[in-house]
Amino acid sequence: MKLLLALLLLSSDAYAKPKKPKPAPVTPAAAAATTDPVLQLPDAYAGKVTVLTPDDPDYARAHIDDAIEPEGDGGISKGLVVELLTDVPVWRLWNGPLKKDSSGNTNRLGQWWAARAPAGTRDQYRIDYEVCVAWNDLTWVAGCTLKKGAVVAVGPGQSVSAQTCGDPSGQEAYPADPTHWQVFIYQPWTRMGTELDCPPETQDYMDDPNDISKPLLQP
Amino acid sequence: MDAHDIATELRARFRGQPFSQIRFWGFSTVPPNDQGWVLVSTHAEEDRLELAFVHHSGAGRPSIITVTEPSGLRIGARGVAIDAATRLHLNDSEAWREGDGFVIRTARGEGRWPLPEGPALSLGRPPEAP
Repeated sequence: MKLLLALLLLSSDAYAKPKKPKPAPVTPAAAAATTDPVLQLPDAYAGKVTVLTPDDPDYARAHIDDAIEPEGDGGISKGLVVELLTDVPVWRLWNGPLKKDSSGNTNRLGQWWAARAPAGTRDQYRIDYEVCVAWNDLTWVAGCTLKKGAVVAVGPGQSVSAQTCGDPSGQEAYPADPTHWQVFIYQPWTRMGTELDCPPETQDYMDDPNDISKPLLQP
Repeated sequence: MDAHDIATELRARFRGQPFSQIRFWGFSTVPPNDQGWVLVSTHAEEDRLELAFVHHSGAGRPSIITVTEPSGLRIGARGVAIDAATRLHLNDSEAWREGDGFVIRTARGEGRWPLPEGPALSLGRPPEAP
């Protein structure tokens, strides 16, 4: 069974015909009560997504089991599988084009994203989204579009232990954050052009550490 | 089951299967579940096992995990575990047994930790120990 979410922030795009018939809209609270009595989809998602239940044939595409982790292991603490009813912007902070891993790849594309536009300081973003220092410099911002029909997992961030951070000193750890939801896009490199659109890298910007919503002004 | 046996088993049963976590005694050596990789080859030389993997997209060069004196192998649909080893190495991360614990060294420094109950090496989400 699918549950169509409320129209609180519904744009005209969300009325576009879905691929298949959907049930009548219900409120986010009602949707959450049906699928998970504890988890309530933030209002920001309302009207933009349909919550899928495990018996839906598309549910498995989200690979939510890869996203939900036990305490201390990062990822999300609990989650919902959603299908997008309209195109939704998603953001990912990354290390920039010059920093490559030992395989020669950048981390511009990965499975963890946010549907909330980046804002505030870089340090606060790291705490809000439980991003360990070794994982991501958070110095560049990529804005992409998760397309209508995409199926992803969303949920609040899980806590991260020093072991999961890979911090030998045992100092770096983050508590779970119930308010900042993360978007888990399973294997986005296989979804480019179909479920995810990203502009050329040249449209990304190096963020200002004091306000990551803005590009860093170069002298 | 020695390094050669493990290399053979992994080659036969895990090659090509995607995984998104690499942990040395529970320590993440990569951001968990952010990227995806597949095992492309295995090699054993005396007591040393080498596991070569590439990004799931096919982009970039292979990386190699080296496992010294591996023993105990669990393979599941979502990952594998090597239960014991004396030393593990991947890029700038290295961990080795010392006394009743292990030492982990990364680009950020070095620390000594008690040995956890879990496996020495896990790729993805291995099946639980029996």
